[in-house]
Amino acid sequence: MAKIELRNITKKFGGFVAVDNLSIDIEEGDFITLLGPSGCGKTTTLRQIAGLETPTTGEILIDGQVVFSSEKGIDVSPAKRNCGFLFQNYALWPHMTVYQNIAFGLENMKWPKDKIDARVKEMLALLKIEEFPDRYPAELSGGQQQRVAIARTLAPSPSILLMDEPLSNLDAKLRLEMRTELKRLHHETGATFVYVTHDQLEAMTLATKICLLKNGLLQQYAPPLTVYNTPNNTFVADFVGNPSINLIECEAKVLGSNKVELKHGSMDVTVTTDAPVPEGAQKFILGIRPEHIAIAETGIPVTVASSLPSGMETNLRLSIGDRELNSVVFGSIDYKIGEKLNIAFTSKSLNLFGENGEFLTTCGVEG
Amino acid sequence: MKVSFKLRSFLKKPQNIILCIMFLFLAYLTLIPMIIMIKDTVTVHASEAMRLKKPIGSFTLNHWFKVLFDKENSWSIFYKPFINSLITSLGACLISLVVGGVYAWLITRTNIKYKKALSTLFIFPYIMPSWTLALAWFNIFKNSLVGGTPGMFASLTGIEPANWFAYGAFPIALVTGLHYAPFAYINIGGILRNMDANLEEAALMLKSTRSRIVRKITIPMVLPAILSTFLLVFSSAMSSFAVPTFLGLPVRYQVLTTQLYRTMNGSQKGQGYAMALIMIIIGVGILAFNQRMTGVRKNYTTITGKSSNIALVNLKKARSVISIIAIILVLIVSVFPLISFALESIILRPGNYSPSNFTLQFWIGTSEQNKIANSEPGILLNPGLWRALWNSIKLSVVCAFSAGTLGFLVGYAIVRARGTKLSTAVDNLAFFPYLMPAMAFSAIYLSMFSVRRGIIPSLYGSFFILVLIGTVKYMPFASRAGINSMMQLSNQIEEAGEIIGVSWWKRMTKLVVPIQKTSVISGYLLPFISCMRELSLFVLLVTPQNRVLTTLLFQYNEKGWSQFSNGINLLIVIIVIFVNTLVNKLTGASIDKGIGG
Repeated sequence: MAKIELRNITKKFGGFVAVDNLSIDIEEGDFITLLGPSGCGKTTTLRQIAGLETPTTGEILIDGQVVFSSEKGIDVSPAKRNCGFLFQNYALWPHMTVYQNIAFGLENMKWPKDKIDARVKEMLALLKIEEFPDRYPAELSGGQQQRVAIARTLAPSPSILLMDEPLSNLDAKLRLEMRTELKRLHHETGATFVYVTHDQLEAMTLATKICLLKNGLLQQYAPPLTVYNTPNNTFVADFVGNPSINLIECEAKVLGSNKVELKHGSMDVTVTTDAPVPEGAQKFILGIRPEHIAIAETGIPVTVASSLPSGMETNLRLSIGDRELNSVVFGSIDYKIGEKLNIAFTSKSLNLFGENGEFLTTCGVEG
Repeated sequence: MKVSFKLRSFLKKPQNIILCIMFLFLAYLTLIPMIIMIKDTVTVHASEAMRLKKPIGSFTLNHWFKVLFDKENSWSIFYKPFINSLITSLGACLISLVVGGVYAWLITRTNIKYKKALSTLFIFPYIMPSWTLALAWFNIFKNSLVGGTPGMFASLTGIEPANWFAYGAFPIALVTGLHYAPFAYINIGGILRNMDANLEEAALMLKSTRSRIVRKITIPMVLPAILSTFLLVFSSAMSSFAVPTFLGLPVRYQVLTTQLYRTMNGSQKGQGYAMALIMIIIGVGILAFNQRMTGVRKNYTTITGKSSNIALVNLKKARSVISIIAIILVLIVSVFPLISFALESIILRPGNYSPSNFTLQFWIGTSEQNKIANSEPGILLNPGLWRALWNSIKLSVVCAFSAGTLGFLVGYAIVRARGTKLSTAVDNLAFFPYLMPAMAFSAIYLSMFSVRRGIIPSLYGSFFILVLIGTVKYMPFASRAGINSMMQLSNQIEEAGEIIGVSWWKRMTKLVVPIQKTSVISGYLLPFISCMRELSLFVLLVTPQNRVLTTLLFQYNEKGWSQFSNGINLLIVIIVIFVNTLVNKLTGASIDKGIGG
């Protein structure tokens, strides 16, 4: 029903390329997050789907209907694309009450008064803002304004909901609460959600699929755990996960088609790869998630550079020669700075990247 | 003990000292004159003693009676001018809002061509003195029906413009409206430009039609700006004196200000004061209403969104035509008046525009050559004119310096002590002169300082009284600019200096002033230019020795020496534009960026 297809979308502002030849399919009922650092083109992409921005070239289809095509000269007005849009700053109309804000879209669709009234009340209840129909936006807190904005967007039951960093203006606690709320809303409405964020945690926790962009170029388009476990390149690997992944440039000796010896400082390990690696390669980048570094009896010798216990887990910085590694140890435990420890890489699905950062294969340490 | 401690810690803060001094200063120069003037409306003056058969200084209600309830007198000296004032002011409001609003919309929201040139030229009439367009209109459309020479239009076409077209309500409303149109343009355009585009996009996403967006979102959002422009233009138009003098007097079309001038200059001072008081009440009423309307409940602060690239309305085929019409209209009101002044100042016999009639003798002729103009030497050789020019510049510089400095200090102190009673009191006192029609304000000063009061001698006829009234009248420009910019400046910037022991003087000169440079300079620029082109504030107070350029222009105009008045006008316009451009280029401050009238 509400499928979105982007075909070779390019958007240029003057000489600056904001979105570079982007093609993705968003399936009905998906919860997609457009993720990336600021200026990577994610908001532009969202606004192009809505019709608020015109792509320089390319084609956009919604429900199989072409809503934009630079070749065919089609550009359907935003009002006719049946999308809801949630703005970063809410864009509530300051001169209208909460009720009037929510009813506005329904009035545009020429609903009868009693149906509008029923729908607005339903939305007020859904978003838990029943007490405020007669207030003006300026009289509400940030979280309440946010709820009104969501109610206003959802009232006409759009089959696609586009959201532009809707939680970035909220405080941490409220943000957590609203995330749960959004996931619930996604489940209840069954609409297709496209969500822009620069917060990788938000993207990971909310999405059914993450679309990661950098400088307008698609980096990876996959479910969150796939992105986390097998990132397409070192940029993606580094962008998702907190504390961030350890990317260790290693001197390599290929011992067989599935066996590589990797050296860096005091580290010297042999890994078995799940796919063959190019013969003769001399340098690899080994990607190890912090939770895959365990404190062991024997193994690679390290020195504790810092220890940050938070009760449930402890974040460690461990130095091996000229660089430090992030590690997370679960449980209530603390280490002294300068303490000597040994570590082992526990996972069988470490990431191995080529010299230029492209993903090669997963691998595990022998033994 | 406790009280003295409280007092000491109160006086430790520099803002409190500033507020205390300024409170006394402003109370003396605004409140007390008001009280004295109110008393003057019920007192018998020297010139009235004979007629009223009462001793000088005794109590009388005759002035109020004459102004408001006398069958023959009231209509001609109050009600008729009052109605005329209402008509011309409302007309001016309408014209300025429509013209300014349309230009604002065209420039911010459509793909019209020549945007840069349009917006620069459109501001021009606002920088020029308010009567510029009036004088230009007079030059072009004056007719010989009321005596005198025909204007350019009649001379070139042979058609005499009708009286209603050449003089009176229609041209007064039109030129006043055009003069304030840039003000509407700045206010409405500012909101349109800064308005969060998301607000309109949100409506579009909810399937609203374009026309419903304009009706339900755009107009309500600019409505506060429209309303406050309306009120400010209305009160400025009400207090305008020069325009109705040029365009109303030839057909004896009196408005409140011109009638007030007549009354004050005649022997009916008491009636004049009563009229001035009514004008003040109207002015204060309008602006108090404006402040109330800028409501609290519906907060219009616009958080600017990141999507500033709102889709411009495509004018399509009409684009070129509209662009060209827009630019021609702007040229007519901004550049053409100057050409007209230059032309009028070099023709020997008024009304004859053939090159053979051109002469430079009104600029550079000696008194022997200028027999027709009562042997008045040409503008550039005229010692009286040079003295007036010097007076104008001296007065403007002194007023700008004192109003700018005091205004900034007041703005600083008000913001720093915000929320206290004293701060609110000084805020209101400092803004009060802005609400008062200039002519009425000068009537107050005439009343207050024309006789010795305690240790202060009679100041009438002195240069000092002009400085005093200029300073108080223009201080709101500087204090508003100061308040607005100080609001943006976090207290912490100063506290960071305070904590390492930087003295207040140093904090001001090294931190606050450099950061607020632009608004400080506008605080000086606005009073300077306003003073340079001020007529109604000074016309009652000047004497032949301290004449300024504007009052000299006024006198030449009264005598009907159009070459001189046009020449001087050109001179004033050039000085004003030159200073504004110079300061703008050097510092970025400009008169059109502040409040003003």
